[in-house]
Amino acid sequence: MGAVVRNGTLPLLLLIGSGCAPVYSVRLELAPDVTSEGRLIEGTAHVSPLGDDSVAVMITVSSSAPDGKIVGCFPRDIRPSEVRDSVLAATSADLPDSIGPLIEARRTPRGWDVLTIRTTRETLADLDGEEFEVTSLNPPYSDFSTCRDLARLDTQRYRFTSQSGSPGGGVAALVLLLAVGAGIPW
Amino acid sequence: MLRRALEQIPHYRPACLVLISVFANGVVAPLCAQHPFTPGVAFGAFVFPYVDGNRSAWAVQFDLFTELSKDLVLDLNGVPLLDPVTGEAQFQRYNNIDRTIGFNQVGYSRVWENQITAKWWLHHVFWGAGGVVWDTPAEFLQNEAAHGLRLLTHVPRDSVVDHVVLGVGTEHMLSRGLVLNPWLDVIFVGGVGVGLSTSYVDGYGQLGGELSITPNRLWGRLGILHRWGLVGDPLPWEGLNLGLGNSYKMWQAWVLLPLDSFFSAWFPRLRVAYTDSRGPFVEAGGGSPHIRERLWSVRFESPVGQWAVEMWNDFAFKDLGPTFGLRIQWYN
Repeated sequence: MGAVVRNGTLPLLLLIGSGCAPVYSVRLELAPDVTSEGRLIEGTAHVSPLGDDSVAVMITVSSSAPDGKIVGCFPRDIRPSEVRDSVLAATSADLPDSIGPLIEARRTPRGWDVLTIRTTRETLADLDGEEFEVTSLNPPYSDFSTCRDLARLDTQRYRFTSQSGSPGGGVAALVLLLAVGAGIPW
Repeated sequence: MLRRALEQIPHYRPACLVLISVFANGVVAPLCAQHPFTPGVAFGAFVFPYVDGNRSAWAVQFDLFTELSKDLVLDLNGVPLLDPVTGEAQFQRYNNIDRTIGFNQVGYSRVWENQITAKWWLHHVFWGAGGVVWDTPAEFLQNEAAHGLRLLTHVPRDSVVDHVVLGVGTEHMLSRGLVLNPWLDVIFVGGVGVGLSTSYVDGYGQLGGELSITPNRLWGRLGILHRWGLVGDPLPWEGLNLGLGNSYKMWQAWVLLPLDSFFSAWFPRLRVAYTDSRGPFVEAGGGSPHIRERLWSVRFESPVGQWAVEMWNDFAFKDLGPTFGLRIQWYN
């Protein structure tokens, strides 16, 4: 499955009370020339800090390939045990070096696939307008000969668009809820 | 007695404001829980299990059982009936439960996800909660906030109860997701759970499903869940045993509107649910048939902010029985 990712994100700090880590948001949009059988499920990629200067970007997608292959991004010469190795995955020819490796591709109970990409906060902000491709993966990571075929089946493009916000977003929602609640004759 | 109770309200106001302020500012952080706490389900809390991975959550939750209505008992001519002993007007009662009960809980829950085959998954939930049965916060939310701001008649109290409440519970759900076509996929869940607390015991089985509409991104979800349960009151401190049956059945249907998919990611997701339950509360008098309750619920959830706010209410907006609930969640 091919995918193109454009754009980056703006890191946002959302503090509602104490004890909340910075929260980032990456918006995903289908590129206009997408004619894929794969689909972007979540409009928002979830970004979580990894402890150092890195962040994990989780993109939820779905492949309509007949055999329900997990969507991934792996070079054909990586062995199954090495697929989960982020260092080796970083050499993936399918991802620009500037973005970072795919560290996980997993199937969810809903039948969706979640791609997790490791990158830095700085790179995340620089992704604006950039594109990369994601190819399909045949679980359980043993038959890589099908990657090329599936990539042809499921080419899809994504776009990262900037997201901005403020703590006021969450607070506004709470105020809205309280206003609605106060207007109800409990 | 009623008049005395109402006169005491202003004295509690500062304490309530401090309590609300503490919660609102997240000093008691993080606040959340995934699984409805006992007895939230009987009040209309959301019941569909979390099926999107592992998650832990904290929550603070308020539930109110109202003994008396703000409406008076009238005779055939529309004249209020007076109590033959006290000579005072009588308010309508829900059933034999003779206390207004406010549940205030802080809880933690954790969800584990295990893939057992290519198509089947298991979801395990554990939750624990503690708090107090104390009418003051609920009374503040009801009479000072909701009714007070709208200048509605205050809901009276005849008797209240104060107790510590503790509870634990677990739930085990089996799920299977099906991608129907490029626009639609559905996930089915089914399983059992049990909740044990000092005020309420609930063992149940449930089946449900949720349809996701994803033409190019998540447009929305529709779901329904049916639950059968057995309940009891292990320690009749609050007097729930006077009007609680031994079983219930309910179904809940909901619609999720992902505002974050259409607008900024900082918009919360909106979920609205309708609940139709028979029991666990029973009518007063002989035979004790289950009372049918129709409740609605609304939930705002921010996947980016990792918080959610829910509230539920009875559909007819009456102020009797399971009257309202409020839950604020914080998860990761």
